Amino acid sequence: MSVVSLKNISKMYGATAAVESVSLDVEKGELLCLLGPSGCGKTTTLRMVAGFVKPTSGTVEIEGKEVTDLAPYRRDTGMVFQSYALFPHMTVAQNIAFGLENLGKPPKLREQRVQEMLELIELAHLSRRYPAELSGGQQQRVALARALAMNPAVLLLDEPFSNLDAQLRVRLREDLRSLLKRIQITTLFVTHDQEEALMFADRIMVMRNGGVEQVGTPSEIYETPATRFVAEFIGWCSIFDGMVNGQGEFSVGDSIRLPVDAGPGPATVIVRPEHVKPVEIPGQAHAFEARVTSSNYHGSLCRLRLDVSGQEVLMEAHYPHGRAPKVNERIAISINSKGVRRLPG
Amino acid sequence: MQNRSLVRFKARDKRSTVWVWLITPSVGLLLLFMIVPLAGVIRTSFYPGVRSFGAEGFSLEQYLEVALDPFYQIVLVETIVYGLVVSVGSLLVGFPVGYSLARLPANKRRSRLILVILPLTLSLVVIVFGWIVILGRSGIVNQLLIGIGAVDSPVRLLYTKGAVLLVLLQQFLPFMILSVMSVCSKIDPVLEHASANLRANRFTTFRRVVIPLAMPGIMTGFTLVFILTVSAFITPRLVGGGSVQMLGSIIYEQVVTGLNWPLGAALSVVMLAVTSLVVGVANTLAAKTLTGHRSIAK
Amino acid sequence: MNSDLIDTVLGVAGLAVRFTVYVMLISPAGIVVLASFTREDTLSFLPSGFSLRWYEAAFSSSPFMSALWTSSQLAIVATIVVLILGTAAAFAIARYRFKGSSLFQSLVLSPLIVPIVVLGLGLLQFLAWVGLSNSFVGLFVGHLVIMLPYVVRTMIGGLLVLNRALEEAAMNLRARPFRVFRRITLPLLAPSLITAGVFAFVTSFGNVTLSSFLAVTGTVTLPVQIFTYVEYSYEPIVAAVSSIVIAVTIVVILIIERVIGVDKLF
Repeated sequence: MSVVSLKNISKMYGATAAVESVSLDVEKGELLCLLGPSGCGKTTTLRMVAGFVKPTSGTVEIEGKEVTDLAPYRRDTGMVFQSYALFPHMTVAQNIAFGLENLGKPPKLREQRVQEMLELIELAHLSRRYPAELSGGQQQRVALARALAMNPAVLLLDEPFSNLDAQLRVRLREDLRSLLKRIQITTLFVTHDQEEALMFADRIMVMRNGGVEQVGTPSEIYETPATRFVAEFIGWCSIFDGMVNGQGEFSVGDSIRLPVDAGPGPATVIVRPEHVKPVEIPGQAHAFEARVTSSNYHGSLCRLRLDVSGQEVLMEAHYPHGRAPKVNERIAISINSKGVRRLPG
Repeated sequence: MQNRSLVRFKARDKRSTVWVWLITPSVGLLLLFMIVPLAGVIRTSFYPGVRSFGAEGFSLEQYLEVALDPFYQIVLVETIVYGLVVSVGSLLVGFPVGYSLARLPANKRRSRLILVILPLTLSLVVIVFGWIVILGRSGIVNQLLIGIGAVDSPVRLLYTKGAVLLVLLQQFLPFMILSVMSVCSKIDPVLEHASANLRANRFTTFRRVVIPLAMPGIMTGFTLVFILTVSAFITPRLVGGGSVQMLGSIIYEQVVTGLNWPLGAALSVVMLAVTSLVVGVANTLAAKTLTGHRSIAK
Repeated sequence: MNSDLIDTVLGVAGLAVRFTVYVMLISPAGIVVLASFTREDTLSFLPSGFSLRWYEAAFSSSPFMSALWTSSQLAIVATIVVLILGTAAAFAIARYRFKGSSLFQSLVLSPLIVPIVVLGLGLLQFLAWVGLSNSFVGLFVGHLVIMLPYVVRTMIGGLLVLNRALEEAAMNLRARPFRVFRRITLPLLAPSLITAGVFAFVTSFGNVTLSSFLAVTGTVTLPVQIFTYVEYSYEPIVAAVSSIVIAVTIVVILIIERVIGVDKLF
């Protein structure tokens, strides 16, 4: 049985649809990420699960019970807000205890649970501090502890890393993921950061303009994107619109010929930049001559935009000792045929 | 299941009308004790005769009296002139103060703001009394003048037009200062730095950048000070004595001592017309500058 | 044109204007307090000697003391009522979208731009018509009308700053709406409520323009009593009473300063 089940939910604001017939099942213990650019409806979807937004149509179920019209305070969800929303007039311990009070738990039990939570987030020594006296990372952990204290059926995270600086973000992401996995809580997570989604989630739902583009594991989403939007939004890739002939060879422009597993007709294929490599001699199988149009140094690797007889090809390669090619330099590349994917449709 | 969703549906409906309950008390209060009384004033202004109670009928008698008696004409014109002088004066001296307050760091601003808020919150009559003590025959100014030998005997400062203007200006200045401060604190200082970087001196920056952006606050302050001045009656009575007549003090006399409400009502309607006109003009001007800014932004 | 010269002249002129304005703003109140300690029978400068005799006179004067009592009662009751009305109105404006919302906002702020003499005549006449002409009620409702805009403005400001995610978080933590209001909304609005309350209090306590119209109904507030006195005499007792009013006002401003800081007011 799925913990959260959305059936065809839509949210209309006047004539515009913020969310349009979205269906989704989140399994127990799963870390599911709603990913998309701002305005795609991911936050609205999350808020419909929490009960802050009522769907115009469709139903929301939590643990098999229909909760579509239920007030937020009657739902078994724990939410970490983007701004954390820690109560500024309560201490860390009081913040964590607030939900337990509302559930009518006796004081003894409350104290015990607050202590457990403080130990879980390793902030027991700061229990009497006020939120304003904590760092951003500490605030995030308190918000998490507060949401988890009630032992909710599902944890909802709304862009929980967006208020942290880049270095801290990467570390806290790893910490949070291992913590959530350890306590095996079902989690629904909203982000606009594809890198974050790929490393954090068990499954990703990519949204765009209120609708679902694709649902799948991070590797499915990355390697076999269902739509051009997903291919472009997740990571970096070259996209070719061309033709497949009777021999299963895809061609675009004058020179690019690639083997694909598809019948004849027009087709769109993508190639991820790691499947493009610089080679010494042109003329090798699937090797092409390319002109560099831009070159960006990224430390361990170099990102290049190339022009192969009018088609743009993206490449990531390792060039030690600052030997990366310059703009307008001509180089030879090869495309690994295993990395060529045809977009469905 | 069916039953439960019905109950929920009701609850949702109730939520959407909460605002009715929230605004009803205020609407009721203002309707009953402001709108209806103001409508009553307009009605009374059309009663004939001088009776305040039990008057009947409909006539333009009061308005004719106001229009034809040169005394009222002079008072009306003088009152409007006073209103303009005090509001322009408060703008001239209040703008630098409000602007500098907006640009001060918070800790320095707080102590100065107290000086501005005190006369705003202090009872008007206490302020006027303070001025009487300052300007009176044996007041501090006269003592000073005699002390330095500038005059031999006390000069008459009280009961002059200048004194009334000075006291009105001081009373209503805080309104101007605070309006200007509030709008100037929303102007990004970076704009002024940019202007300076484009080789504008302080005066040009003020004229071309600060003042246009502060226009809404200037209009608010101007309107408030004008209305307060035009309807003033405590200051003209106490500081002006018999030598200064303003519309507000004449209405007060007609209503409280003369008990001639129909005439007082007609004068009140004239005052309402003047103040509404000023509010309207100020709003239009402020709206114009705002749309001007928007078209520049595009 | 010499830019440096213009800048310097502007700078010096600005400084002079600001200094003059601050002195001018504070001098009436300062002079009254100084004068109130005189030993003599008339107000003169500088007062020769120091005495509290006029304070003794003020505290034993029954017209002033009963007026002080009336003013305090009126201000306290009206403040409590206007806080409830104004906070409700501010909630409607800040939290609900409804037809006529901006019209309603203009209505509650309109007492600021209605000339008080006109409102005074209107209320006086209306109260006579409905037979309330001889009571405290007239002053009470009149004060409510002129206090309302200040309260609504302050509370809208407070509500707009209040992060709604905090209330949502409380709801997510299973708090029912009333509990959310009592545990989260109200404590976080407390500074705004206190500010609005003290501002409303001084507005009522110091009001003379509207009160002097409604005083013909027989209820006399302290500012009206001072007004009647000053019309006929400048005895030092008025300075002592005025100093009491000044003291109350300063205390109130200091409360605002302590609670939210005066610079957050506007």
